[in-house]
Amino acid sequence: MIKVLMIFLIACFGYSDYFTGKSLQTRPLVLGPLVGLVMGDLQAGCVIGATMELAMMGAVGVGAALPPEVVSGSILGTAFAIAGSKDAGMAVALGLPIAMLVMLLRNFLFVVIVPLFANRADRYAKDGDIKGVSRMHWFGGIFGMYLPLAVLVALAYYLGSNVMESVLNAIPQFVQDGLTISAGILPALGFAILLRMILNKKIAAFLAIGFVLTAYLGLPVLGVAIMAVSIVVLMVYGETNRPVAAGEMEVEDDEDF
Amino acid sequence: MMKTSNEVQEGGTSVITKKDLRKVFWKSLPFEISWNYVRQDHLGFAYSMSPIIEKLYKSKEERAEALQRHTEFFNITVYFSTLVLGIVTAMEERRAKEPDFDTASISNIKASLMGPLSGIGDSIFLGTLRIIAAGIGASICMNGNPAGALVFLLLYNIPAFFIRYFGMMKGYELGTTLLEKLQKSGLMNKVTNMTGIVGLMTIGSMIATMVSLKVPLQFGSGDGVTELQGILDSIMPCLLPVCVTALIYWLLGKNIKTTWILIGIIVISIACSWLGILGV
Repeated sequence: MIKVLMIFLIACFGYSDYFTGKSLQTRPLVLGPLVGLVMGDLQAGCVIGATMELAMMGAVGVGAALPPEVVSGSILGTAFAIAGSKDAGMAVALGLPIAMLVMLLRNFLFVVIVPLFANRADRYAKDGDIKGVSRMHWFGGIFGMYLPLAVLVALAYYLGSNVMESVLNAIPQFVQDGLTISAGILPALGFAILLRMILNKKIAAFLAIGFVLTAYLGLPVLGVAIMAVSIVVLMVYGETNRPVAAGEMEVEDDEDF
Repeated sequence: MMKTSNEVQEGGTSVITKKDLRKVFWKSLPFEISWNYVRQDHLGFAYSMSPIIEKLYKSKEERAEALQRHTEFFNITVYFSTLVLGIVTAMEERRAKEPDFDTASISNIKASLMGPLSGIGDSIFLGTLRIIAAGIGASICMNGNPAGALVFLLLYNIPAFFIRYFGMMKGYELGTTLLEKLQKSGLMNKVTNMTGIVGLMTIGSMIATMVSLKVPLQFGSGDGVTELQGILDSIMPCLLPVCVTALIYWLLGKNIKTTWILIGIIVISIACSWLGILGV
C-alpha cells in the first residue's frame, strides 16, 4: 500500500510538469530512477528509464498533435518490469497498454471536461471577474486534468497490467476512434471563434491566400507568416511613399461585421 | 520584422513596471494546465495577463472586454508564450491610454504570432534541445547513475527559463517601441488591417494543417475500387476541414452556444465513427 502511495506521488511529480512550464519531468529518463528508488532497484530504474527515453524520443507534444501519454507509460512500465524482474524492452511493452488507456482518458478530459471549466470562465469574463477566470484556469487544470490522471496511474499500479488491458479492450473501438476524430475537428471551433473576431470583408481574401499556400503548395505556417509580413511591409512602403491627405486616414469601423 | 531601438522603457510615461512584467512571467508558468481541444491555451493566456488587466483597467466593462479578448483561441510552444505576452502587454497599455485604440489589432497580433512562433519553438526546444539533453542524460543513466536525470533537467530548463524571462522583457520593449513608431508615422489606424492580414493568412494556413477529417469510405471492389477521400482531395485539398470550419463559423453567427457546438462535434464524431463515415 505504501508503494501505491509512492507511485501516486511520483505521478503527481510527473504531471506537475504542466504547472512548472513544461520543464519535462514527464520523461521516462526522470521518472525511471524515481520508480527504481521506490521499487528498491535504483540501478534498474536508471537503465530502464534511459532505454525508454531513447525508445520514446518521438513521444512529445509538438503543435496540436497528440503525444502518447509518457508519464503513465514510463512509471507503470518501469514499476511492472522491476516487480517482475524484466528488462527495459519488457517495460515498454508493459507500459504501452496503460499509456493508451490513460491517453484515452486524457483525450476525454481535454475534449469534454476541461471545456466545461472554460465555459464557466467565459461567464466570469463577461462579468469582468479576473479572479473567477483565474480560478477556472486552476480548477480546470487540477480537477479536469491533474488529479484524474495521477489517480488513474496509482489505480492502474494497484490493479496490475492485466486488468488494464481488459479495461482497454472493453471500450468499443468506435468510441475510441470517435474521440480521436473529434480531436481533429475541435481546432476548427477554435479557429471559427477567432475568425468571428478578426475577419472583415476588406481583408478576408488573405484567409484564402494563407490557406492555398499551405493546402496546395505545402508551405509551413512560418513560411506563410513571413510572406504575410512581407505583404504588409510592401503595403506600408506604398502607403508612406504616397502623399496622404489627412481626411483619407479615417478609421474604419468593422466591429459589426 | 521591424527593427527596434535599444532604449529601455523604465518609468517615464509607462504605467507597467518591471515588477508587473515579472508577475506575468511567473503566472505564465502554468500556461498549459487548462489546455483543451477547443481553445487550447486560452485560459492560460488570460491568467497570465491578469496582473496587467487588473492594473490597467478599473471598470467592470473594461475588464470584461479585456478578459474576453484574452480567452480567445491561443496555442504556442510555452517557452515563447512570454514573448507574445510582452508584446500584448505593451498593446494593452496603449489601449488603456487611448480608448479609441482598435482592440482588434491585439487579437490579430496574437493570431499571427502563435503559428510561426510555435513552429520555431517546437523545433528549437522539443526537436533539438530536448534531444541533445536527453541524449547526454540517458548516456549517464544507462550506467545506473541517477544523476543523468538531473543533468537532463538542468540542460533543458536553464535555456528554457532564460528564453522565457528574456522574452517577457524584450517582448514588452519591442511592443512599446513599435507602437510609438507607428504612432509617429501616422500608420496607427492601419494597424488593424495590417495585423489582420498576417493573422488571417496564418489562420488560413493553420486550418489546412491543424484541422483534420478523413473519410474511409470506398466504392466498388477489387481493382475498380474508388476511395471517396481521393475524390474529395482532387476537388480541393483539405476540403472537409474548410467546410467544417465554415459551418461552425456560420453556426457561431447564428448565436449558437459554443458548448452545444462542442457537444455536437463529439456526438457526431462518435456516430460517424460507428457508421464508418469518418476514420482516424
